[in-house]
Amino acid sequence: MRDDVVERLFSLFVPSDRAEALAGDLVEEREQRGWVWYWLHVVGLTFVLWRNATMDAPLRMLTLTLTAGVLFTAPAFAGAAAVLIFPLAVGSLPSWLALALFWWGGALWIGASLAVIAPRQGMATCALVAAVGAALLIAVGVTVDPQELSRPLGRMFFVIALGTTVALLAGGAIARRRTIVIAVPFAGIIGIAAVVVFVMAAASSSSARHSEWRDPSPHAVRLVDVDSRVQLEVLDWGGSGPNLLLLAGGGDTAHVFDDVAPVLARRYRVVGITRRGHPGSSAPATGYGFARLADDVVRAMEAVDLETPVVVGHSLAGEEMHVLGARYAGRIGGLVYVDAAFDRGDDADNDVYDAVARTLPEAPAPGAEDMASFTTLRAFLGRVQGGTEPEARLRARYIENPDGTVRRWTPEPHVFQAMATEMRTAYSPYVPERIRVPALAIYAVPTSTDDLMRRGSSDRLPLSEDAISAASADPAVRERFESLYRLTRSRVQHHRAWFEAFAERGRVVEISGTHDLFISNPSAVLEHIDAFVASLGDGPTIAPPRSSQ
Amino acid sequence: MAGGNRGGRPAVSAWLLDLLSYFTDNAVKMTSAPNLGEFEQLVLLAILRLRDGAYGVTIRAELVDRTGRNVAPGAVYTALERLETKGLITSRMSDPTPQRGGRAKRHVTITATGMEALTRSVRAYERLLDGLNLIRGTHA
Repeated sequence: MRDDVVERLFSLFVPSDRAEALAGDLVEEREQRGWVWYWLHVVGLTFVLWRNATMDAPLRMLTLTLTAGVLFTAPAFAGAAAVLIFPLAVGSLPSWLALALFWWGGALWIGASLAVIAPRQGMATCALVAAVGAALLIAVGVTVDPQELSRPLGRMFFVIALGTTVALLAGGAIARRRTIVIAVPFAGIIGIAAVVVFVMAAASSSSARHSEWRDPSPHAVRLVDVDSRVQLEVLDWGGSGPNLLLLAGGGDTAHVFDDVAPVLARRYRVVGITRRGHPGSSAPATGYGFARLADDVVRAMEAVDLETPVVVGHSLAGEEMHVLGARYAGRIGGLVYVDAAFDRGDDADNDVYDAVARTLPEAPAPGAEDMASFTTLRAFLGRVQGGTEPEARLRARYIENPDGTVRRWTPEPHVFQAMATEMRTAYSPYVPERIRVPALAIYAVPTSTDDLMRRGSSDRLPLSEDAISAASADPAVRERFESLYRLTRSRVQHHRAWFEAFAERGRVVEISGTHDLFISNPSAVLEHIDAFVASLGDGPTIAPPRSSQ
Repeated sequence: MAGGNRGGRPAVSAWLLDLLSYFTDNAVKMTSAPNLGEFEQLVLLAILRLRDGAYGVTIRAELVDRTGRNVAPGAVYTALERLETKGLITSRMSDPTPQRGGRAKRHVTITATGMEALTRSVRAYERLLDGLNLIRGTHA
């Protein structure tokens, strides 16, 4: 037998003497008609041989095809199970190898079996199933959502499935003791098609608005154990200098500090923690009391070797900070409350404030077109909030839907319930233990009515220029805004007074901005942090506890 | 003639043959020699013309030359396979030549049954053509 691809190819479908004669005929005519004619007719003749095999015994082809299908269920299932049992390992080398082993091994075995059962129709069946299978897969690859294909699971199954068609052909060829070289051109075509599909998927995926987003803030992300089966996300921005620990507000993750932390890291070692129940950290059913939350903070500090940090917390973090300042005074250097130090037990003035606030225009909420993607939402919030928040914070507060639109993240219902219950218990009556470390409380307060409209307050977002003009033009509205401003001022006065009594070595500062002062007034906040840390001198000292409240 | 009693005819009655003819494309055979398709006839004729030198390449060349049709190697091969299966031709492998990369040729010759089938076909044509003036101005 001459060593010839074409002859071997034909001999898969017809006896060897026929194959020899056919190949010889084509070679003989090739001299006259050229190589293009030759290869054209090699392909054509292969198809005719396959067609003859099929038409001569169509029922046998059908039963062989069904047999192949039935035989493949076992390796198909085994391979898929082997991979899906370890969902975290999907896409890793071992999972690729496992799937390939089962699927390609299965296909090889089936191809060989078919060729042995029915020499002529067996090979024809392998060719039919392989060609149809490959065509279907490529059609799927081209039409399916590119995102599915770029995920490890999708990519793996697609590629292995393509390879399975080749394995089937190879099995049929090997069983008739022909070389696998037959499968090589086929494999080449499939390989090129797969590469094309992936390049297309990658290209459209990277230009699509819902592509993979990488957090650009230079932090190391760690998960640390703080309780039995509770892990917290800790962001470490590194840096050298005094230690700073950043605590986010309720509903936020440590990513809220993604933009300011790198700036702080030039002068401090900066670490941020995401509270339990929030994205990135565990969400157990219990443990949302402020004492437990403070314990979590201390354990996280220990896990990353953060000693006596100055703790900077926003909003709801103030409650944990009270516990830290009271019970862990020796472990922390000081406390900075960023719009976080409020007398939460006193809501006597809420009704009056709300009555006025209700009658006044508010900053707009995001509409459907703003929620179309993270990009549009970020642009909207930038316009409305007077500052751009870190995208990582956005991606923690909002979740992406499959179609690219976004919706607000909320904690799971049972977690939310637990949080609400703990807060109710803690606030009535509201008698937090007094802190025994130096503390700074920063409040978001406007300096005038105009300021209230223009820059917002702890409870309000800034209004647009148009809304401000409209409000100022209407004397009734203007008067209500002035009333609101006075109420805002008096509220802050109350909280300041409460704080100065609560914290023995407490100072108070006011900044005109929104509740998220890190975002509306980052440089002012940083300046005050610097001043506060500098004022700590040689290190924290614990004030002697007072004997009475 | 139709209904003629020749040797080898299966022992079935006329009505059964009529019924069977509804289930096959061709008229049900009256003798053991099968009916020929149009292309098969052409191939057999080409084989006859080529005498000892009938194999894939020469048969194809003869057909292209004589009929003016674009005959593909696959069609010739398929027809040869069918003819051999029906017992109308036999094949033998002959010497390999360097032209063909050292491969043998598959020479075919017509069998007695093949001759019978062919002549019957031709006679059927002749009888049907009798009286029709189908081809004018060409060689008889």
